[in-house]
Amino acid sequence: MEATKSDLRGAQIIDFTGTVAGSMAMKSFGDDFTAIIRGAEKPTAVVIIDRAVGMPIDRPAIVRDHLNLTGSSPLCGANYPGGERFPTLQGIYVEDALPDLPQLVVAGLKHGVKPSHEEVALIKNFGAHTCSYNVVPSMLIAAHARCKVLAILIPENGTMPDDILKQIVQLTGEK
Amino acid sequence: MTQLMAKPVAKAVEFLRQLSPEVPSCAVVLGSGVNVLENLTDSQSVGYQDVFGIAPGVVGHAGSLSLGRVDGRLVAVLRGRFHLYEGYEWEVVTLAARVIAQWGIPNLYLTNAAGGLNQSFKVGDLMLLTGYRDLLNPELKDSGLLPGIKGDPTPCINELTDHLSKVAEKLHTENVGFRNLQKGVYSALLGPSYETLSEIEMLKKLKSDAVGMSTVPELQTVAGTKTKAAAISVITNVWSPDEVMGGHEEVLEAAKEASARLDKLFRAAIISH
Repeated sequence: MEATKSDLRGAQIIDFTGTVAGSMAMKSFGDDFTAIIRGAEKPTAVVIIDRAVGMPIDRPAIVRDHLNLTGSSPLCGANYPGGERFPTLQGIYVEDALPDLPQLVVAGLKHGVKPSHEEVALIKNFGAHTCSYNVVPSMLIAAHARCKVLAILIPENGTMPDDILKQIVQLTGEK
Repeated sequence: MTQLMAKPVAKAVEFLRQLSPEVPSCAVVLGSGVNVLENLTDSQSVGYQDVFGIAPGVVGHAGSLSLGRVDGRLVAVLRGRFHLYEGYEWEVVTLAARVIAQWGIPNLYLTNAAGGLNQSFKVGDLMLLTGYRDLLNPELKDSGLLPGIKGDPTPCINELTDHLSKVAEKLHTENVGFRNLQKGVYSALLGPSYETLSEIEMLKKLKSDAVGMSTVPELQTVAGTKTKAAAISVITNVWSPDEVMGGHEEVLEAAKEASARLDKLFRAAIISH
């Protein structure tokens, strides 16, 4: 079933950019993120805000799909019993929230990998518009736990505009 | 972790030599839900735990090794394999292939359940791998997949794949019910999640005909040894933009249906080689 903006009520907002006031800030994807998604008070939806690399536009965008080019998956290893061994990933990204923002496909890269111009062109040829480091592993953990995801990408030197943040807060029902 | 208790290759080979002084003419590794070569003559079975020191933990992977005869020829059938997505190291994932090569088995047939990307494929088709793309190698852990999506797929055509192809052609000609083999490139991804729509589109642009989570480690392991390998994918679903891809139970069901044709193919290939 497709995820919709109504799924975002009560969503946890997690910011990997360090620029979004009022959210839970994280430096990078890791055990802290997983602990929240799998914790006792696990959310049914999560808003992930991450920095994009090589974004073709100078304003935020929402993620509608991804390519996992990290070469790894946080789901490898013994299966966490809160989700299926082989989860499907369709219908996890919330696409109908924030209609003013463009929708992009993001390629998830390994932390520290800086794609060359040729590699960026290759990635774009394969259908991704931009790259990021945290959205894809976060989404995999969330999808496995049947948690819906609104993923927002911020350009490299950009910040989250106030009006967009207000809309996010409204959608999630946070004060 | 459990894998630390895996036997060294030499110990596993020694165990098998005690079980059978005769070296089998071929080994067959069966993937998820694939069931062939049952009721072998003079059959004896042992659990993976006894042979390798560990057992697989995925539904559809039994974890047993049977030795028996098909028309007098000794074959080894390995039901189940170890996967990287289960958290096993490369050494464990390739353990069975290394044992097969060191035991001196000349021919290795590999099977897997795979998602079809080629739109001319149908559910239940059998695809002979003519090439593969390695997108699960632990060597890609540091760099990510960028090196893996550059360049061409690795070809895997040899005397054994030619033999399977000819046998299938003959069966197709002689039997109304036997669909001929499809042929194509298999992309191995780490998993365990199924692919996103964008990943499917990428794989299609990479000219992949099927996608799965196994087999490439074994193909790479026996390459350069005296063991020749041929691999067949059982196409358990075919990607369509209008349908959500099925889960693991659908994979097992489709694999079961195709197993009868695969059984016929393997028996004919073993007898005529």
